[in-house]
Amino acid sequence: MIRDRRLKIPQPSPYRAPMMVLLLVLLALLLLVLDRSGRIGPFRSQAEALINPALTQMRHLGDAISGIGQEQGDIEALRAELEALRAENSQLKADAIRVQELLLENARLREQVRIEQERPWQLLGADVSARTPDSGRRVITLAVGSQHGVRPGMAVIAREGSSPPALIGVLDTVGERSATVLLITDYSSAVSAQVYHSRGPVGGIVQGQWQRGSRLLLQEIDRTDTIAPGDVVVTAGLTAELNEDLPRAAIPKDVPIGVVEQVRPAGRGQVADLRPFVDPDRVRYAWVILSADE
Amino acid sequence: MGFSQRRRVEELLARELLLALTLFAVALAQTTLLPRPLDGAPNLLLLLTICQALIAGPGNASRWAFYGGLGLDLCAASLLGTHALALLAAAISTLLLSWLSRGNWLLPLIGGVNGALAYHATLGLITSLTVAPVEPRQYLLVAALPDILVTLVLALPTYMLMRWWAGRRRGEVPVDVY
Repeated sequence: MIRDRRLKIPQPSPYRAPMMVLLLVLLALLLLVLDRSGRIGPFRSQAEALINPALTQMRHLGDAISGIGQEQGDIEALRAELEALRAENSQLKADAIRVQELLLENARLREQVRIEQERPWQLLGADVSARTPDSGRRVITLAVGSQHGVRPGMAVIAREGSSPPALIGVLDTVGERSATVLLITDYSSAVSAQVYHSRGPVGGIVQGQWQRGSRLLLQEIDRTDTIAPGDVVVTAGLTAELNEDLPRAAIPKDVPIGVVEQVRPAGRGQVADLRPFVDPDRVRYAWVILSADE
Repeated sequence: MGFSQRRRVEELLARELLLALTLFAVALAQTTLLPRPLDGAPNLLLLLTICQALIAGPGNASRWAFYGGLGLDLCAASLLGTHALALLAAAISTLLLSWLSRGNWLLPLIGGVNGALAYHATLGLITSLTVAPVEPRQYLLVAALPDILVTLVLALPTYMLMRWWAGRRRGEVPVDVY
């Protein structure tokens, strides 16, 4: 009996696969038509309601995964922007400083032009670059030198507030790019000066008194000359003739020095305490009188 | 219906349900989870359908296409059947490559491009008919071409992996005939 039994292997129908494909295509088409016509709307709504929570959670997760690279890109972009802004900020600060410098330079040049229009002087402006650190001498250093045309003996003036441009010192030593100024308040400074009166000018010598606890002293005044507090003292332009320590002095005439504060007799003559128009210790910018057209 | 036959039907149904759920999960991941470098997300279901069609034939792959397509339609809020039809078209298009050996490495590359073209042609046609007319040139450049390129890049590794997996399940010894 066993001999007669044949092994029967089930063969799949050759039409099975095409039929399945056709069936699924038709089913998909049917679903498409039904969904378009809205006939499976309720079923679809329920299905979407079921999957929406999972969809939302996974979308957040997907956004987070996508955001990792994006955030890294953002950080890089922000860093680059920060560097650019820092560079721009630095440039703007430098520009602002430059603008301030230009404004200051402009103001100083305007001041110089005004002085040159009021007075017959040719000026050269210069910053005060240094002051004497010790109290022995009253000297300042200007940032101009022989290459700018200055030479020893030239008068140095400055302006403070509403004061007129007034003498603050005389060039002492001149280097190529710097020059020291002996201030008029220094004890070794002596400048010929005069006070104008209706009866004629009253002459004298202005000497520094800083080392003596005062500022300026007008001395060598004749007892018969009339001088009173409030009188304006100007240079006489005679320093060279008086053969003082500055033989090459080139201080022009009528440069304001200060105002008489107090007059007192001294020996056969009289002396007067002066208040300078400009405090030389507070000067930051000064002008050298290169020449004066008399 | 006997007990064994009923059990066989139950097993068949359970297997189909598992396949449908797996493909739905893939659709869910494709629409939500995959990172999108340069807006070119890999079309996983298209890749899987094409590779399955090349390995197991269009008949088998059509089930993958149907389940996966419905999943995509639900997740992407498109008309039910749209993606299913497009994926079915991709699976059917592999019939054109029946003359190529399964071991030929050109098969997944040509199959990928061929299937992606069929997929986008169908999708563009359905969109034109059901939503709004599609300008073919624009659609080809903006939607189809990037997808085809991504599919082309991933087709070979996906095919190799799936073929290795299918062979392992059947206990086959990998002997390729070129």
